[in-house]
Amino acid sequence: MTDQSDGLDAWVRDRYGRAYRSAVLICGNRADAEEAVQDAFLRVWRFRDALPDDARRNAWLYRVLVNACYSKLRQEVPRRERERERLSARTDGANADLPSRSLAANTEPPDEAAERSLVAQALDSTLRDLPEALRVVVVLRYYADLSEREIATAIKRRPGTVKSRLHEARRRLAADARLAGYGPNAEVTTR
Amino acid sequence: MIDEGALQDLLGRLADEIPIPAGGPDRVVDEIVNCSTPTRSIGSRFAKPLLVAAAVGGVVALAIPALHSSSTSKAASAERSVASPARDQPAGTRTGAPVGTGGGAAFTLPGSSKSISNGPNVPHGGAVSPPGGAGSGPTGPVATGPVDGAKIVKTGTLDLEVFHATLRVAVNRVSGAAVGLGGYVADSKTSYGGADPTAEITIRVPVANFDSAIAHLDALPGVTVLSDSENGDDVTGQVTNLQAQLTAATVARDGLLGVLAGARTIGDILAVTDRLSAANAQVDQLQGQINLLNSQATFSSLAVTLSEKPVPATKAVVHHPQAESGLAKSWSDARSGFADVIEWLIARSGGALIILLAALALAFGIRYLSPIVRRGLV
Repeated sequence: MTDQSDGLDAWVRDRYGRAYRSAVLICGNRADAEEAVQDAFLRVWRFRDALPDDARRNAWLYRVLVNACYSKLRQEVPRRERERERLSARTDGANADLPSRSLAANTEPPDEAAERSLVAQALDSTLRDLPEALRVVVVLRYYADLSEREIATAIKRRPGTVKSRLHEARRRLAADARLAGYGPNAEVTTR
Repeated sequence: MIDEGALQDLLGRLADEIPIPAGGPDRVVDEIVNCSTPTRSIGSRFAKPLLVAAAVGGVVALAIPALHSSSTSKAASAERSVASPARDQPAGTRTGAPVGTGGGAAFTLPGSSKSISNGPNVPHGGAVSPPGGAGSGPTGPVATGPVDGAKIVKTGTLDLEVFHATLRVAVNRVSGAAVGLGGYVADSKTSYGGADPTAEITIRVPVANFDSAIAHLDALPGVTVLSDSENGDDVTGQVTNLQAQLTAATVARDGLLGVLAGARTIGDILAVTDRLSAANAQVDQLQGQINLLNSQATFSSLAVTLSEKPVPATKAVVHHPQAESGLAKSWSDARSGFADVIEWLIARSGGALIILLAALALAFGIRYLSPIVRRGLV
């Protein structure tokens, strides 16, 4: 292994988990998320010399990742619609791994699903119902921990637009009765 | 409004339940490494021809002193300078060429039909100069090739889409990016008018800045990348082979010059002159090919196609020259609208409407006309 390969390995491992989970939250599909993350890392690494600054490279990674997720979402809409119809036709509810079922519950065993926080489930379903534009800013801001300016760079919009989208997203999330009263000091119901 | 800290906490909890695929990072690393190897595979593919070319070059280089000792080198050099004027010769490549073909040649890009650029490096009149002007040549301070000396011809295409009415700005940005990266605009065809404004720009940037150019264009504001492609071709072996051929051809030509100097009869002189012309043509041709490859290996070519996003189509307004204003226009609109409605009704209802209208007319006749008729008869 060369120094460059070592650097590549460390660079990927440091960021893969958060990038992958962000992509799953945005795409709602693990296969798409993995491909999107792979594309993003490959593209950013190819042009690493143009962005020597690590912080800017990280923001760019998410920019490419968001674009890749958008691309996947556009491609996968017809397939998702078919799968959703197929799922709705079945009544056994055993297909918990389908994206239309849950963002995070792919291949999740029923017993583990039962233990999930009710509030997290509420967030899951509400997040899934959000428009893509709002879902992306929520994930980038509150999970990927990007600043509003970095998100603006990532989605090619003005910081003011990002701020208004975040506000709208939080307002919509709060519209869900299960999330409205949730706060850092509130008691979380867990089964 | 949901609390930001709470939302962060919930999202973190939700995301923690998403298992990270085992071997995911390894797959990414493998993918990156595999995509980075083509340059090495190209090198290995050309390793054998390179060795053969190097061996041929070595033999020729050893043979040169022996053959050269019998020729009149000074007279031959003077003759060469007159017989083969410089053509397509970047000044920077002259030092590496085995045979000097005259100095002061302006750098002219082969195949560049037109040059449009706001940058200071492109003179008017169609001739294109690399950064640094004609005297410095393409191998200036910014044009650094591959470190190992390999000559790679890199080409690429970028298909970009910009917002409506921003094509001109985008074209200027692409041109500015090319100049900023030490390159220049080799060709530009723009069409701002019409329903579908497009621009096709070919920029040439130093090979070392090729990836940076793509990244820079990719990140231009308001630009969406529709497609991109890149291609790399190792021409090191080809250049080495051509240089060996050039050396051999030059030696042969020098020999002919020696024979010409010793010719005594007119027949001998004519025969040698014919062969000398052919030898000069071959030398010039080889030199031109070497220069072309050197130029391509020094400056990569990137074809950028820009188009505007289509605006939503608006309903065409039918223009009536006779009814442009006032009551005449209103009357015309009303007639046109009435006719449209009737056409629509007939088209949708088919024969049912005609039957209905006939029935209505019959009922009207029976209800109102029959008493009148009856009174008249009575």
